[in-house]
Amino acid sequence: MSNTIILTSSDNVEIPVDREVAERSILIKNMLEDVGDAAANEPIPIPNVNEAVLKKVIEWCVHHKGDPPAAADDETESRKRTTEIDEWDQKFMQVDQEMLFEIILAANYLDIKALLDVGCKTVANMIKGKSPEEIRKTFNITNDFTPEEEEQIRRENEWAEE
Amino acid sequence: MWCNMLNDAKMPPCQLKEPSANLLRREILDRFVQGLSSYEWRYLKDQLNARTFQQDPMAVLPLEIICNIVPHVSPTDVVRLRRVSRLWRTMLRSDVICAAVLETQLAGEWETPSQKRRQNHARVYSLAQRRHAFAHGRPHSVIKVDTTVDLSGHSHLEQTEYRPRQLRCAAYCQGNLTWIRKSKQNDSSLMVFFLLTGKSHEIRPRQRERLLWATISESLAAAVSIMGICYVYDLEKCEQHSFRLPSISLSSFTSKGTLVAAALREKPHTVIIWDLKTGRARSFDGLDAFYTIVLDPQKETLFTFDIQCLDTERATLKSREMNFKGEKLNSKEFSLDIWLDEVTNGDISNLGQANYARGAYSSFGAVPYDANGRYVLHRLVKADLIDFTRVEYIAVFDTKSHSLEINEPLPVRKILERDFIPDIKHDHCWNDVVYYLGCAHSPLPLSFVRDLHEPFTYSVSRRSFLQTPNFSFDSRRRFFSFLDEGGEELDDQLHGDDEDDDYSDDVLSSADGAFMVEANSEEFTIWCFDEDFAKYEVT
Repeated sequence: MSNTIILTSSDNVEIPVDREVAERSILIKNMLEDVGDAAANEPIPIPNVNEAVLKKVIEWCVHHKGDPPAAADDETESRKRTTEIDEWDQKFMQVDQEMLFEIILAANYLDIKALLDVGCKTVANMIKGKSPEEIRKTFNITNDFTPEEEEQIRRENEWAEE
Repeated sequence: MWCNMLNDAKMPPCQLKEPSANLLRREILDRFVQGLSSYEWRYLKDQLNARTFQQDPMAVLPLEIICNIVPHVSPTDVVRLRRVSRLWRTMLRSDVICAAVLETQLAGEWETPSQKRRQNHARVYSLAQRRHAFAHGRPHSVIKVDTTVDLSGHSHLEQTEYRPRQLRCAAYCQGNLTWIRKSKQNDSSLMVFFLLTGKSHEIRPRQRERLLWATISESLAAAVSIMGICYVYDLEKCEQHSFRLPSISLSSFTSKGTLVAAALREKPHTVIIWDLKTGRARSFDGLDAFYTIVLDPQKETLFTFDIQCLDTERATLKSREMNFKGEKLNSKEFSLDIWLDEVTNGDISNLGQANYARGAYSSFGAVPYDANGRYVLHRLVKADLIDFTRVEYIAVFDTKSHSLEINEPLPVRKILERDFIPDIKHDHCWNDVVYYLGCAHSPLPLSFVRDLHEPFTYSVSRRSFLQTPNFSFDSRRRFFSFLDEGGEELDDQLHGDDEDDDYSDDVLSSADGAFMVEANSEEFTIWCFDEDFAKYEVT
């Protein structure tokens, strides 16, 4: 049984990965189980993820290789409430927004719960405690409310304003 | 052309996007930039400036991922960020996302709106059963002992905004029950049920206009329509009277004996008292600010109440008594050394006026507490934002002795989140039982019943509805009601859709379990219970 498998990104780049590392992805793990060892040497196509993103994801998986498997449900519940991210992950997530969202989408597609979680927390941290104006700046969103509409909404939600 | 250069240097653009290889990227860029002519450099700069590296997460990420993100953000943030753009507003107001936020905030205290309505009915039945047993001193099982329900998680929605659209009032007095029944789009009628005889009477406004406020006393049932006409139905003679009010922005509408009183919210503060016996109205204007009124027909006096906040620690309650000739009799000031949480929402200088502006507390400032002329004025809350706890008080005002009694506070409860200001939409009290309905930050409201003798809160329904029903009380037969709203109507409110509003299922029941009413679009059933809680049906 070979310990290295090959992933093919959407832009047809073949990336060799440790099987153990690749199996952080539940999608790949299930796929490998389904096809059996015989076909494991075949490259696995990952049609939704391009090379750059896939490499990032693999980088994360390599670093978190030794992590214990996903915690039980009740623990994930408590984890949900905090937005603390460990230092390495924080650095890892210091990428432009396009990349960040692509990593989140890839984590979702590849079913890597912990990475998805880190990504979501990163986005949450970008949103947290900010004013609508700051959010618009952060994400380059145009304010498409009329001034009257905005005033009305502001009054509705007055209690949520600082 | 710079693309070509990249290719020449065998540096695929994606390498530039690889931030973990910082050094490499810098090298690539350096080499690349050095090779550019000034024309190419300008062209490249323009291209880069024209391109945004920013993306709107709400537009890019699928809903399931957004649902993963929002629970990490505080509910306050969620509400505030509805101001970002139309897309954000739609997303952050959607049921799915609100439910995702609530699920984490309430951790197990939440049931999804898709739950069967029947379960609510069963819950009402068991609640009525418990109340009945409790009222008669029988052993009763307590289904849910819950001190963890924390109302700080429920916040504020303007009541006035929704009021004209879908308000239904229910009131009960001495075996008579009344409520506003909405049949078609703009059409509503006042239903009066004579529970003792089983007869009913429907009062229709002359022009089929909508009814907004209702009240019932021993001898009359009254409602105010959107056109400012007050319809009064004489329960003994079965006669209908009507008179016109100068305005429909009422802060208080109440009745006692043969008197109906309406207080106008606008300045000059005016109270209009109409007498069924004489058919004549008396109007008092130029009154000092007040937020609610109470009538005493025997003494022929009227009380007005106002709460003034001196600072965040102290507040005073001013009660003014005047007789029906307009003479001011007594004015008393009670010190409330408590901190009123409602005030934190905005102006702390004058709660009374803040209330007029928001209209949130105007309709239920005072509710009868017992047959001796005592009224519950407000649920007073002391909130400590340093150690995140809150204590609740019930203030009982005695019209006979003109005194105020503040009950022992309810147990201290921890506030979940500092910045999540709670708001109770509606509360009611009868003989030591408090009913309150809190609105969550989404259109997904919660209601709770708390018994002052028992250290727990019943959570009655997690999706009874937004704009709260209007109650009035009879002290001899305690009455409790809540209305249960279907998901469709919540949707209507979400999208501001006014068109489809079928009369959805309502459940009313009395506190002592004496009766319960179920109603839906076409029919209603009144269940009556006798001493042994045997059920029989009156329709």
